[in-house]
Amino acid sequence: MRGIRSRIVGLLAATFASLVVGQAAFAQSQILSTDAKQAKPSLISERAAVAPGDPFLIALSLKLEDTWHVYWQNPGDSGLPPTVKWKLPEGVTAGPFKWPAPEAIPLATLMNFGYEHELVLPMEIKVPANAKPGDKITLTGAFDWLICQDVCIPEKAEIALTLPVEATPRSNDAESAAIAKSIATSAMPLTGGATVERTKDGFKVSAADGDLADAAKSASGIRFFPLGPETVYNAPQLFHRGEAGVSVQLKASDYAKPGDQDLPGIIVISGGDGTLKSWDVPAKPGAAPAGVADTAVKAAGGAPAGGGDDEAFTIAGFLLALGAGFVGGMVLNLMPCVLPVLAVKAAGLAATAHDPKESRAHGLAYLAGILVCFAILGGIVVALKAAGEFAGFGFQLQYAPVTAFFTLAMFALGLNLLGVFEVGGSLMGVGQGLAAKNGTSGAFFSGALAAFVGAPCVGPFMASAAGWALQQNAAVVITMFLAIGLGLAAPFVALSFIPQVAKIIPKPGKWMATFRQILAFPMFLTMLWLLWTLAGQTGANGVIVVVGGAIAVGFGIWLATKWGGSIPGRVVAGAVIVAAFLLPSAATASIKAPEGGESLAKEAGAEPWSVERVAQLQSEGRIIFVDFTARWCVTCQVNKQVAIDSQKARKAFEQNNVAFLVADWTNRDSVIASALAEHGRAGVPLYLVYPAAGGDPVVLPQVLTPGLVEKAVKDAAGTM
Amino acid sequence: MAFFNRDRMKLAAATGVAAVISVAALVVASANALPVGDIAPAFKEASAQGKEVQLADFKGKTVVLEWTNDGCPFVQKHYNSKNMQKTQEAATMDGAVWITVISSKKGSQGYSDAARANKLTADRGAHPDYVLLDADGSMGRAYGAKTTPHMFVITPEGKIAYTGAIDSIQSNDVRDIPKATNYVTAALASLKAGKAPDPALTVPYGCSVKY
Repeated sequence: MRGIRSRIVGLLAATFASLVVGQAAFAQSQILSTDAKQAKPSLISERAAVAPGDPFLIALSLKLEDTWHVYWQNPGDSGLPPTVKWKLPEGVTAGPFKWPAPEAIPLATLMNFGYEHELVLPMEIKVPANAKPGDKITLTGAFDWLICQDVCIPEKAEIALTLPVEATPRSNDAESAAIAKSIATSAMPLTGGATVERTKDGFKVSAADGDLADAAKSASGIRFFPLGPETVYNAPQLFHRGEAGVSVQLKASDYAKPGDQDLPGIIVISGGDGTLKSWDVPAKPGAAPAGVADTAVKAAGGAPAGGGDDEAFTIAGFLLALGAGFVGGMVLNLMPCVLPVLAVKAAGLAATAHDPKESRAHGLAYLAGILVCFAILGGIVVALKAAGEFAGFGFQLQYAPVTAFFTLAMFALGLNLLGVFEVGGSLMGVGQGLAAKNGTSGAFFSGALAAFVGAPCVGPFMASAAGWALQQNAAVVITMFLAIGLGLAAPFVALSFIPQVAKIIPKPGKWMATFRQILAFPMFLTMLWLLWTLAGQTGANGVIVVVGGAIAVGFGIWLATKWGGSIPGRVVAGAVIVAAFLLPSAATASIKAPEGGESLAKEAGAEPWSVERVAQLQSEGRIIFVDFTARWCVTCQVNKQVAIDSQKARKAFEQNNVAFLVADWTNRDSVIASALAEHGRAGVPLYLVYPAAGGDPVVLPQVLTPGLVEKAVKDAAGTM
Repeated sequence: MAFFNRDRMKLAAATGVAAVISVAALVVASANALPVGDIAPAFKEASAQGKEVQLADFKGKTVVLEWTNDGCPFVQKHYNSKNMQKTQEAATMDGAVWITVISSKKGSQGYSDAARANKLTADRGAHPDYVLLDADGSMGRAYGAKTTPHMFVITPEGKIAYTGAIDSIQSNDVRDIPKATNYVTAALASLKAGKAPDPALTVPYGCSVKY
């Protein structure tokens, strides 16, 4: 009896002892109070036992219900980051949160920065050197966090963590692994500097770090997270990478102060395997270090720039792009935007075809005109790029005054072709020798004109090559422009060197006057196209101003033909003509189209495109068709009429509940420009079809057919 | 043979040169405009009081716009503490027009029809002059309302004088209210003293507007 009792007592004592020992040997996390429902909180520690003077990490662990998220230190457009208030034993200190890399969480029109599924938020605890082994320390933290889905709920928990103090620290393997995993994604210091430059509509941040540059090479996503509200959170970010680091273009928010300023943030890179790495970017005003912006990098959530790896510079890629540019330039001759100028050129060819020498001189002058104009345009694109702008082909017609000036120029050219005025003849008796010289200069300028109006028509063969080239350095950009120019000039130059052409073309005579008059009408049609473009830029008011200008131009020309013989008459008429050109053109700079009044989206019965809208529709599982277009893009209009508005395509849209978004690039818009750049394009048109199942969009060809659109929509539906 | 005569050549030259120059000049000009100081967007919305309300009705009066969603913890912070009601009362006593706007779409948190909105006003002891029912979000989008609360103060001339947060401490903790600066009260006081509010633009905090 006694034996049994003593055995029971012994067993109880052993159990009790082991409980006590257990209590002493292991970290204990206890929730004192909580109202949390959507998150399961706990405090974890990388130490099972701590040693005097040994700093170590603990972490708040929040396991979140699906579809809920908590916030990073900068929550983005809404939300709040977690906070803690500590009750600590004498001498024990707790450091700030070591934030793991956040993700960007789009929410309707807003962007939030935070965490889904789980947050392990570490911080450092320091135990004083005079802590006694055998004692216990208890850390009591009152944590508050806001947890949101669509709606937000504030939650809190008071959690106590008790740790034994021992002579040497002991690790808690499971929990230290979880903490290490979180720390691995938190921001590392940069090995080089970080700078920020002000751009026209935002900032360019550059960060120098070889590891960062390497990680960017194989990144599946990359994003800059600012610590403050200086930048627009949900605007696309365009990254460039060099050997020494990366740079990113950011759009300024309404809350950005003007002028130079610090722009601290972090850059987060997601690797191909889904792991996150981040770098501290304490950007200070200054010029970007060298080697941070050689090639474009796929941005977070965007499609790869230039389609996968081929955005990197290779000689083969370069030659291929030049070839494509040349062929594209040749095809440009068939584009409606160049046709009027070519008509003039054709007339010139007809006039000189019977004088081989003059014909060759004209051909070469025409070539030179095209090349000079393309070199200037290329130079402007390079300069804009350096200033942090994204310019593409056709950018010149995004400025209303340029469009207005061209409208008036086309009108005057049309009147001249009709024979309304012949100022050249009456101003001075043109000698035969001079005429030849004038003709050569004329050919030069007709070349320049062809290049200027031709550039907005990104030809079908040119799109990807031009997109690729624009992401390379200045020399490549300009060489690319020249290759396109060479292609554009090639057919006429070839013709002017072939004497046989003369045999096909009738001898100059009366027919040429008639031919010339007929050519006036393509000019007037071009004028109509430019006015329509202007309507998108300035609304009806700008159009009226320019039509008024056209009347004034007509008046000035009439004055010149009537009294152009006298010096005062010539001066007055000249002044009227100059004023008629310049005043209305300048006036259009300050006329803005009414908000959303005459957008292409509205005309097409579509919604305007935005990154957020695409994200939202994708989350709803909709198929999305995005039409990147512009009024000055003739190819875009042809595609719209022939393919997108065809019964076949419209039926496919309807049957598959396709969301039709239009990104109207008639006016300058850096968001649209950077979206184009993300898809490796420098201009419009660009057609994207996002599959119902989500993921990256399919890029359609630049020339659409009804069948092609129908098939793309059906494919997008079928992948569900 | 006068086809490529001198004037055409000159025209082409002038065209090319002028275009290039104007492109270069325009790139340098123009900057981002802040909404503060802009003309406040016009609106015309049904109110819970039954009357259709438009901005033009209040010409000559200072107008305060408050975006709200009664389910949002940040809104609750300012209503449970009576901070919002006190701000409303002081503003309207001083002659300002206080307009509370509900932009939650039907079926989402905070959506209210007239009856619910009026009950909310009574239950909360609020003092708005009008509660506007903007379930289609048109007014919220026109103003770029991002969060609840998101505050706008409009001058008697119809210009935006202040836009942003209700106060200076971004939290949902009622205990922060006494420590915070109420930006709306400050902006109204500045306007009354004939000064421009400072700050005139702050980052709003709260829940997303449920468009």
